[in-house]
Amino acid sequence: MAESFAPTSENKGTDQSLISRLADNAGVPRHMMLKNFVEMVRGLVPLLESVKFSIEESSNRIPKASSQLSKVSEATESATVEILNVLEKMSDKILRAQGELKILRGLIVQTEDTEKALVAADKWLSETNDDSMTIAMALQVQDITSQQLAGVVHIIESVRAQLSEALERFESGEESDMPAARKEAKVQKPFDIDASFSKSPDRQNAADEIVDQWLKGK
Amino acid sequence: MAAQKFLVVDDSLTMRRIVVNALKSLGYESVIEAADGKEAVGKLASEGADFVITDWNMPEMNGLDLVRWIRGNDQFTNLPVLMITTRGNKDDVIEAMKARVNNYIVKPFTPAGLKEKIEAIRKSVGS
Repeated sequence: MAESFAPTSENKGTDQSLISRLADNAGVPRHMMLKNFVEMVRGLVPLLESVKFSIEESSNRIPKASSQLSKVSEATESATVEILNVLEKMSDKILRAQGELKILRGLIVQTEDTEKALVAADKWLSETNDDSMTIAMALQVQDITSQQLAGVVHIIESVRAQLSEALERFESGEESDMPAARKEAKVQKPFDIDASFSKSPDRQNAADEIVDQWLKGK
Repeated sequence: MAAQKFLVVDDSLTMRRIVVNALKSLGYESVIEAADGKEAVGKLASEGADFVITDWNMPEMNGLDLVRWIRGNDQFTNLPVLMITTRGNKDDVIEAMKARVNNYIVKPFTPAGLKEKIEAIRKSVGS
């Protein structure tokens, strides 16, 4: 006697009716279909456990990665400030040396050679001062790269927050009840992820054009 | 050169030092500093300044909010403000101009560029 496999009020929505329909479609006995289904689910469990373990491992490594990147920024800022300290001292000494040269000019017998020597010494001191200013200006790279690093840390922390949420769902099987604050990436120092260290005047020129147009339109 | 007191606002110690050094190389010796907009508001109230140079991305109160505060405050509304920031997108510059910064520099800046902007602002505000 042919059985009906359309859902009835008795079996509607039950696994039994689904297994029956699947079995019929596959042309295998229902008990075999059920057995295959159970084995498939059993096989998924270790796979899901492995995925969960990987997520946990990755999630656990992220805080260290974030911390290392932040330490890089701190270390480069510290080194940069030290360099700036030395440059400022150099600049002070150069100014004092130039002052002493002026005094010397008034004390020594003026000849063509002495004048030439004093002018040359003053010129070298000025050029050295300019060079130290060039070094100081190049150290802007530290601020710009620290913003880029802060941007990377933000991305890493966002990934960590999402992994934490995924882990919660693994464990509870439900939508995470984790408070929103814990799900969010930790607040980092403000940054501009598009910050770039480029000597090209293009960006400044583009900004100047906008400013000029704005001011003219006022 | 008329004596001008500058307030340099940037959360980066490195940048504050660089801007201060650049100002001194241009002959501007009177400079005070703040690490964010909130501290800048306090410094303006307690020490005053004739010219503000500010970054944009800062904690507590960013540069744009600082400019809005300055423009909204009767005591400081006409204070010259130069923004020095890594943000160089068209939308950012427009937003800054809408907030009424006087001019805009995209990092990294040069002393010559800083001098040009300061002089342009001083000329436009008649100081």
